[in-house]
Amino acid sequence: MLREIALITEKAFQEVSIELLETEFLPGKRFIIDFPFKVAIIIGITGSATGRLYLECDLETAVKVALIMNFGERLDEPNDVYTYLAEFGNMISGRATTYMTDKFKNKEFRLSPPAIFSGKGLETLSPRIKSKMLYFRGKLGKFFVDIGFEEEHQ
Amino acid sequence: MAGYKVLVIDDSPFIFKAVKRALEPNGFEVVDNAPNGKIGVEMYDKYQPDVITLDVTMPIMDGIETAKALIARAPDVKIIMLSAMGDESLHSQAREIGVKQFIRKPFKPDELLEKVNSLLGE
Repeated sequence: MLREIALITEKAFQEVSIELLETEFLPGKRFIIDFPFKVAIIIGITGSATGRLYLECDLETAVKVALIMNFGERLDEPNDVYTYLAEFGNMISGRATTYMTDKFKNKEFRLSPPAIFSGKGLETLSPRIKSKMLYFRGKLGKFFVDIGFEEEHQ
Repeated sequence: MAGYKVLVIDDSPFIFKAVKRALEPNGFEVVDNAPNGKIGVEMYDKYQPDVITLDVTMPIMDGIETAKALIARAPDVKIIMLSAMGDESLHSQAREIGVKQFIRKPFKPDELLEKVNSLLGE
């Protein structure tokens, strides 16, 4: 099930990137985001199973994404970078959970509002979560996505 | 469509901006942005908008609860639900309450304009 969820999430990420940012991100091999200042979004998934989607990029990539979402205009406030990236993550999660609901007919998923984290040396641990890591590269930069659910739902 | 007022209930400032860009060049007045359903209901009383765009996933009061509260106040209120989620169970839950239009995020400006015009034409 987790492998199928990873493929669904990959599809959702690519679709939303093209529709929203008009740019393509390709899935690929593992990498480490070596930029010191990172931005991370966590969106909780509830309903038939409890999980979460974690989205991470460097600040430079987050700014590029936010500027495109802001129709190429300067951001009103510096913190808009985070709220725009949170909306990007929300759209990916929403699309992914919709596909999950379609795929696993007896399941229904809902989202919780995004939590935003930023800073140097971000590291997250999710002890009870079994997850798949996805890596995307594109013209705007690199994204790391980790989609997972609590172990009893695997 | 000049003079029609639109209220955005969404915790994302991006969506407020996207709705303004889609509707204001076509004569609509996008009056305000409520970041959650509770404030959205208060703003409904203040502005009496002709159309509301309503997010589903929001803090404090989500879209379904907000739609219930708005329809209890004004049964003919015109709501377009904007959501990143597009599954049928969510749509049918919203339809049962009285929401008639849905748009999946991200959306194209023309798509929103068409749905708003369709709602106002009913």
